Amino acid sequence: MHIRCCTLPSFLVFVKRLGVLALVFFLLQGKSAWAFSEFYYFNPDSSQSNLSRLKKGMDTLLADAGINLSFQPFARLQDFDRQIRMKPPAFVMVPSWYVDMNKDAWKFHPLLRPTRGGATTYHKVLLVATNATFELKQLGSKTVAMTSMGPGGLDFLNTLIFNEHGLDAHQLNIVTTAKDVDALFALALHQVDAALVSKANLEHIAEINPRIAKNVKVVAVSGPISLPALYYYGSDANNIEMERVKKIFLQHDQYSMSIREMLQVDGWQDYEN
Amino acid sequence: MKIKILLTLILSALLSCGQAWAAKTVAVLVSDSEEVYNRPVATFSEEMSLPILVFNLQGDIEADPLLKDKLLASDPALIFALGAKAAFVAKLWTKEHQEIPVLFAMVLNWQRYKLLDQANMAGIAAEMAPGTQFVNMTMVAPDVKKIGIIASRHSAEILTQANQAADLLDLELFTEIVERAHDFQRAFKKISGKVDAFWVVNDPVVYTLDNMAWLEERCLNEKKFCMGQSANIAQLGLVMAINPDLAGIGSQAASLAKNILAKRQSPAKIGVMPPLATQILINRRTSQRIGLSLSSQALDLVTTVVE
Repeated sequence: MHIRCCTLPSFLVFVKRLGVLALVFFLLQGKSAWAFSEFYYFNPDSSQSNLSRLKKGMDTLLADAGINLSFQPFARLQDFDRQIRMKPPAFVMVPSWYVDMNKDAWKFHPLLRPTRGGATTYHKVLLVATNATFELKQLGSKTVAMTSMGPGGLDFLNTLIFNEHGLDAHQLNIVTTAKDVDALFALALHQVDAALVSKANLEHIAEINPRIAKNVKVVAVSGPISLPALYYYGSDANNIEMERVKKIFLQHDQYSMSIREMLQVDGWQDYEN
Repeated sequence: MKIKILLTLILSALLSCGQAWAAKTVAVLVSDSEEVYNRPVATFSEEMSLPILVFNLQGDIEADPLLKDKLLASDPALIFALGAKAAFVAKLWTKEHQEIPVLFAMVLNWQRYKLLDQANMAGIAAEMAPGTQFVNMTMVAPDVKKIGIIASRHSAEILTQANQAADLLDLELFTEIVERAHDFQRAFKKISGKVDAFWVVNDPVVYTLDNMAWLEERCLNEKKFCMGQSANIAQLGLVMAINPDLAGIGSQAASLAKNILAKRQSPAKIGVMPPLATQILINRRTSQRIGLSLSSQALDLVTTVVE
């Protein structure tokens, strides 16, 4: 009885201290996991399919700089879209059209924009088979392969390329692919009648394998589209972390240059300049 | 006035007819509870803007005698059938309801089931098209110009497709037709000196386990680029394998379903498309052993590197 009387209060103090510690731990964990633990990447117009290689490279680059972020690339728009709504990342690299389509809900601020060949924009090209005899206005009855741009994407494509040629993307028989190159290959092999792909990818593939490029011809070129930029999460931005991330992208060492190659960009511009 | 009302009624009837599918559901019919169907079903469901109802044959058309009634009672705008049994059953159940389009996928050797005999049927093949395999092969190994193929007569159709693709890609094919698995080694030796690479066809007569093991060794010894369809091929030791991407199948099916429902593309016009989305596996150790240097551009195309 005496023992119970003396040990119970000290046990309660122990439980209370443990509870406080657990709460502090939980809060710290919660903050880092929610605000500054993820870096997302989504770019269907890139010919980069080896996302595990990209992840490995980016994770190494971030870890070497002492930045506690996990890089998560996405191949499919739906997977990316779901994840960004469920768990906002600290940083994200994403096409400008995605930002424009989600501007009402978008809480990210631009940090760096990439350049390719000195330009901050790229173009999409509408391709048909080299031996195709149909006219562009007949495209409505044909099958067109392209990457998905989500529900608002077709209006964007109309403004960007189709309306100028008297076409309406909503009336086309579109088959979406996760990767730009899959749309290009499908056309080169006559599995579809047309493909809408990035001009840079067409040139990139033509350089590696001219036999593929000779099977397709460009029939329309889009207006300029901004290259996917780097954004940071708005209200919770940690300035120190932000500057460190910016620094690793802007530096010119071997790892940063290798990442640029994987991301198919050749430089970065500060949004503030 | 009466004419005006009548015209309005006709117009709204026509408009509602065009949008009729919008109020309906889409039925997904799976052959059984195989895990392999989960990803395409999930992707398809996510990308369709209609309610999805999943029906499971549980491997046997007689497992649930009421399944047909339940499926048809759901008034589906379209049926997406996964697996051979589901595709065959969907064809059978819509014989008297051909206003319901059926899209099938993941049916190995779909030609065997005569699925396109019915006008409401369209699909996505389970096998990668030979052209897709060649195009990826030449992206990774641009020097490959001459490809060796050993197959039985059962692969006649795929060989026709291979020849068409080879014409498009300026490739030269050296094909040996064998009657028995026993003839494989002789056929290999006959054409090996003439080709830069070997393409393994899904031909069960020729590619027995013994022949695959022998081929792997010969490809290494003769430093040949040998590839085929199936992740196991790269795991086993051949340099490259190309698989259809499961999420891509669901996504492609959703695109085709929207084209049928919203844009009135006829299933007959679609026919059977090859899977467009690929998973490319490269065995790094084998590539080193055969002296294939993987450029950065080639590595960018690869989905998985088997170390």
